[in-house]
Amino acid sequence: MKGLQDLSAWVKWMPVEKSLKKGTISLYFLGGASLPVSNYVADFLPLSIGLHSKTLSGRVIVDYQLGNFFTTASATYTYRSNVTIDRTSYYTTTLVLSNEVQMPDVMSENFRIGYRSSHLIAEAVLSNMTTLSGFDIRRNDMPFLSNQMNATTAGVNFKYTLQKISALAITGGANYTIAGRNVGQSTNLNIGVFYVVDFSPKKKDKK
Amino acid sequence: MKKIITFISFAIITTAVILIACNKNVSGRTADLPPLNPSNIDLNAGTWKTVLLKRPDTFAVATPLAVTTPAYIGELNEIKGYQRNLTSDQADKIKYWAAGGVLRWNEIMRELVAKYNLPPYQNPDGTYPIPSSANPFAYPLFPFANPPYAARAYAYISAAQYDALVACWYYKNKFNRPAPYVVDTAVHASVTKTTLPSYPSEAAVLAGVTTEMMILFFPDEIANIQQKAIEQEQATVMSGAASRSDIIAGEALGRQIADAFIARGRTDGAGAAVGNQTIWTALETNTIARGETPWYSLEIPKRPPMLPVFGKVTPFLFDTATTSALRPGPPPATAGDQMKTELNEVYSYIKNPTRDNNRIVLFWADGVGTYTPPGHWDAIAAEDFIGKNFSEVRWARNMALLNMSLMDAAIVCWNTKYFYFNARPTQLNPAIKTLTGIPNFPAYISGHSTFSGAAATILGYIIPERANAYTAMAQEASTSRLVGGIHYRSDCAVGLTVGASVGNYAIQRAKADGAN
Repeated sequence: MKGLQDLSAWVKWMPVEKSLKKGTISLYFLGGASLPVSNYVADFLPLSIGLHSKTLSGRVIVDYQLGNFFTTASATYTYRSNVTIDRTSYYTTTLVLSNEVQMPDVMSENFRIGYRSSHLIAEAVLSNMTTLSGFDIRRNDMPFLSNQMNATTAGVNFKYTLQKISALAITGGANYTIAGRNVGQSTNLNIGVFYVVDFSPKKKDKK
Repeated sequence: MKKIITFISFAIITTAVILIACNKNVSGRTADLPPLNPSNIDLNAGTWKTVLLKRPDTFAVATPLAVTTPAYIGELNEIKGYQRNLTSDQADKIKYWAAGGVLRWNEIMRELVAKYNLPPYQNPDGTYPIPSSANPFAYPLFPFANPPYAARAYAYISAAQYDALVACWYYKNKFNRPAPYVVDTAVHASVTKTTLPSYPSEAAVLAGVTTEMMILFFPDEIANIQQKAIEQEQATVMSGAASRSDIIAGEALGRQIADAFIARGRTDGAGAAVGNQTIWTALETNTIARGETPWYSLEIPKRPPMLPVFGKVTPFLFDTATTSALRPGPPPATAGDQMKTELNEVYSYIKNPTRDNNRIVLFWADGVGTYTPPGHWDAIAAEDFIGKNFSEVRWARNMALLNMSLMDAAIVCWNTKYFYFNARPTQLNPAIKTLTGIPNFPAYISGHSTFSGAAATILGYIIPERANAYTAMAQEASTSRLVGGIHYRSDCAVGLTVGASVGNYAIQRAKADGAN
């Protein structure tokens, strides 16, 4: 299946940045929201491109950098709205006579460690996602939106910022699902381009 | 510091707003219904024509005690004892069952079908295990509630409920013992007050007949359904609608009538519907001998075709000779021009499907893990019947007409599928990627179309003002299989016509059963 999936927006605030011995420790709070931008088909797992839920997330990040070594830990709580599907009833552990699916919220945690300089980030990443309720896929049944989907992935990430164009970076990474529930045990490879659009006014040279 | 306080306050307010504003609990459409309010209590329903029972008094029911006897007064005291301090859970159960026993049991049956509608997973050697009624708790659980099985289950249970309620009404009329809330004004009624006699209790008759039918149709669920039966009976007593002896007599009558239907079920041919390797091979070789491309399973590994001998099951509305007479002529020849045209048409729909095509495909798919197309039509009928103020016995009569036509539609449809054994579009053109799962049985004629044609026909008779709406729904259900890529136009058009002719047998029965 194909289509335009979801749009998300995040705000990030760093209230604390302190020296700790020879390194720097910082704290971030983030808030994010996502919305599906088209009426894509959600109730066709595992082939659908998304779950068509509207989400609100709150995240806390703690980051420590010592020279070019860094480590980051974060935790996110995501509220997910209920989803309306095309059919008028569905079976979870009971038969629900509605076209509205009650979607459980999600808790995720992330831990990274690696090398970070102004032009290169190379990190190992351990990530976990836990759906806070939901039901299990039974043998030979189809997956469904409100399954309890849990996944723990381990992998690596790279981000290389070009020397000549500091707004442009190449990203790449790989991860493998090392544990999970009601999800596919997948290997993911990604490569991308990252461009920062800076809206702050350009500094004029003082004469 | 000030920054942190500002942020934390903001975070707390936002979280609170979210958690307060969002109650994500989903309520079912029938979760909150008023008590059944029949416009006619159908006191003469004991004269209506039954499906299997030769006479409404085939099974004896003892004369009830007079309402002045100490034993009966004791039963009234039992009701008053409950009514003095009902818990909110008990009040909820009373309200749930008061909406209608036939309605609630149909919802429970749809839930059972959805629960058991899972195809068996293959053995390590690539063969498939078959559910065994002799060993129902072993994997794969018995039954695999696929569309023909589901249609037959719904039909038997609805027909048994109908016959049982006809017998129940016969005895209500004969003994004419009033309901507890009539006998004693101190008994509160949580149901609609009517002049319908309460002995034997129609709720208990339904509890007894339905639980007993599980012996044949859902043996793993006898325990759970027994709990439901007790719940219904208790709720009925607590509601003031029936006393203990009403319940006991009703349940016993229901169970005996169920046994007659179970006996029919053991000999109607469904036990042999799975077939065997000899039959499966013969289907392939005979089709090739006719010069046609035979059906092949598109599952990996290949799975034997679903219930190839279901077309020989004994119908309810007509005899097995009529099944053959209702079978349509052949589908377009595999090598011919019409097949080419129809195949290209199917491809054109799935190449770039519109969102609305996806919508109707998913709305009507009713595939694995669902209550199946017959269940979908039961849901449509039940939700339409809610506003019609039928009595319980009329509810049962109408659901029985619908479900018998759906079972007989399944029989004629499966008879046709395995008479011609034709290939699905994707088998002939692997570029056809479908919008829903491809069922593991031949294409001609479309099950959805046959079921829908039958259902729309009988429902249009029962609720004439909705007849056009039902026809439009049937057309959309039929079309959904074409635009989903799993059927040719011929499968769908002929299926609707065959379904309508099955539905007409239900109309003929309805005209003559005495309920009009």
